[in-house]
Amino acid sequence: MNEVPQTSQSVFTPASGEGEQQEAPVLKIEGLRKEFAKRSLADLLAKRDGVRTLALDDVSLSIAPREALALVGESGSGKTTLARSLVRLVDPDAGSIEFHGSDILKCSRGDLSSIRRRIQLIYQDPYSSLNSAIKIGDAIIEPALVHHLVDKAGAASRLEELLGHVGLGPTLARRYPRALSGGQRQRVAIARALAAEPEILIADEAVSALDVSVQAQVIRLFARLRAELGLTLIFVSHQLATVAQLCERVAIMYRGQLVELGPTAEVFARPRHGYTAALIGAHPGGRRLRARMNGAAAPSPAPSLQKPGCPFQHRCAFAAEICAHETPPPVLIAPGHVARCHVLPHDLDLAASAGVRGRDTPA
Amino acid sequence: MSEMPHMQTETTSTDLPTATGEAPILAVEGLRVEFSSDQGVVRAATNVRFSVPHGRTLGIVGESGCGKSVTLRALCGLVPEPGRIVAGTVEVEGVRYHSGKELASLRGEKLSMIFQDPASSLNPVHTIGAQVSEVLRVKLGHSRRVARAEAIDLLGHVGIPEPARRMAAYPHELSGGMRQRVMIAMAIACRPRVLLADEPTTALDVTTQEQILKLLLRLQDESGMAIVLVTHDLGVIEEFCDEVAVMYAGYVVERGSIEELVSSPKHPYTRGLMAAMPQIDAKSLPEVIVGQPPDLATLLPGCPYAPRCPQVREECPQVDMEAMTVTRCACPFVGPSGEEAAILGVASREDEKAGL
Repeated sequence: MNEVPQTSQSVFTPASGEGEQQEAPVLKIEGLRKEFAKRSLADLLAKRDGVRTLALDDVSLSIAPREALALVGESGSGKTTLARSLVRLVDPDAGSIEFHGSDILKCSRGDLSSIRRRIQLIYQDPYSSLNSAIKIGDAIIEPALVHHLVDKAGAASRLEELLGHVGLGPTLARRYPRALSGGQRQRVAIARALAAEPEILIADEAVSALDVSVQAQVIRLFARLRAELGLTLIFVSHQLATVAQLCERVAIMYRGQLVELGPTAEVFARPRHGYTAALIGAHPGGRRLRARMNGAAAPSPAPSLQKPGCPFQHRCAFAAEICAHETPPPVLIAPGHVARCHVLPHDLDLAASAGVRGRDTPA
Repeated sequence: MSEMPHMQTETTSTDLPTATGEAPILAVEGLRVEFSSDQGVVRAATNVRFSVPHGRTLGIVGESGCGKSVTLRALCGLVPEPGRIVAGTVEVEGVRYHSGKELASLRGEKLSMIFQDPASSLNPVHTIGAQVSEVLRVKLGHSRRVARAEAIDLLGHVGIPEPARRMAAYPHELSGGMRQRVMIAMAIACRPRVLLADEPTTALDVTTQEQILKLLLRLQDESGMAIVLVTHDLGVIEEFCDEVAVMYAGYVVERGSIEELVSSPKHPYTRGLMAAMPQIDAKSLPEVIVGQPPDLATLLPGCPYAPRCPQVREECPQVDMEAMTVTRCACPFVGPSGEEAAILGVASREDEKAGL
């Protein structure tokens, strides 16, 4: 958009000088941009442009092998658009996504098919993501057959193995999705993704629709699979607590921008962006910390494209004058911790008071 | 409800005392809701008993299929066919009601309900102004002009910016949070004494969720209405409710003030739920409750939680759930301090290992 991209590419790439992440990233996202235009019939007739929304605004991010990264943000923040871009279910307007060094956005159809096998997506609603006319077993093994990972003879034993991975009994294979509970269906969806032998598993709100008790089971399942199979996990969620124990790194998105990125514990304890602080404050269960979001009734202004300044300025409790004029550049706080904020990265006391730790002291 | 004196964990007088001792606006006693089907009778709510005083909020929590929503719907006569209230009374401001029909007649003026999904509870082909005014015209007999003016006031009151202009908006033009505000405006239009809220924020973002819950608390402060909030999110309960009822398999298994439940949960199910809650500042993964809630059509006698309970004993299948009048906890094996149960829990787990 403006002069920010040059800095963002270098700063949002982890491992700037840190020893533990020397390994080449599996995924390297640079300057990703996607704009959606919604044009109604009335707009069409009047030859007007419709409403344009910037779903991804210069997003740069690297993901290391076997790490678990959380993408957090409210609806409309672009987290799902980002997740879908990774398998090109959404075609970004600009930027690049390198998977083991080759650009997903420029590859051939044949390469894309192989990349899509290695990056699997799991969706929020296990009721609509499974075909109700296909038996569980057939649904699970299908990706393996399509990609010639097993032959007909080996299918049965592979199926049993996959069911075992997700903790389902082999008898379920002959049943239809309608006979299963929500938690079981989500396990089936996970087994189906695993059948393709992926390197990266993207879970798009995969536990949001489940009951707390079932949610806990599925979160534990993800943690176990990651350890056993060496998977890279990208966990998309709008709930901070769900990702807190599962993911070591968290990326917070707001209005298409990656506003903060860093180690989960560090980001939650000392958020360096007004939006992260507001999310933590709004998280139920934090009785003491009252919301730091300005005015409960304040309407979120409609997203517009060329407005100057920080996209969160109107709702931010920490907004300063500069926030209205200049888009905050990414600020490197510690190795691997970056925030696009004018205020919190520079005021340590304020940042400490905004974190989870601040809860015990009455606000 | 008085002829079952045996096996009561804690007995109470027939009058329902609330934790605070105030007269309740809403008192539910021995409520039982059944659905008859080809497979037999499904008891969706059994012997449900709770009360909510003036200006207080009761949270009902539990997994899906535990009878939370059915209980709430029963209170305003909205149990879907073939379900019906077969026993129990609902007392609203001191007047007792026995049937769904009687309760339905209170809807709007005494009792009001808001639902999880505001998108499907608003009519997509009418403007929100028309829908809010309709409530005022039908229930309060206002003229069109008066109803319109009051509808604008109401929309402003629930935090909708530029209410006069938004009167002409259709539901699809509003965000989820704004739609829920419209639903709340309609629900409070006739100043009900009790607001029943069924997962009102589950479909919303955390930041919007907080705004909606705060709005409900503000409206409660102004009018003193009692709120019953059904949710499966213990975080919401902890932050916004005064008292909690934990439901399992149609029974209220634990009841108490939020402080009591958070500091010393007694029933093993309550403890399981709390351990399953992901915590933003916890160090380990959430704990799992093994198994699933039971199928209510084939419920075995005894405590319904026994098959999943880590502290299960031989006597659990003999517990007479129906005879219990739960004032705090429906598990007869949990001592007053809760410590005893912890010891029992360890013992029974070891027994289990030895036995299997």
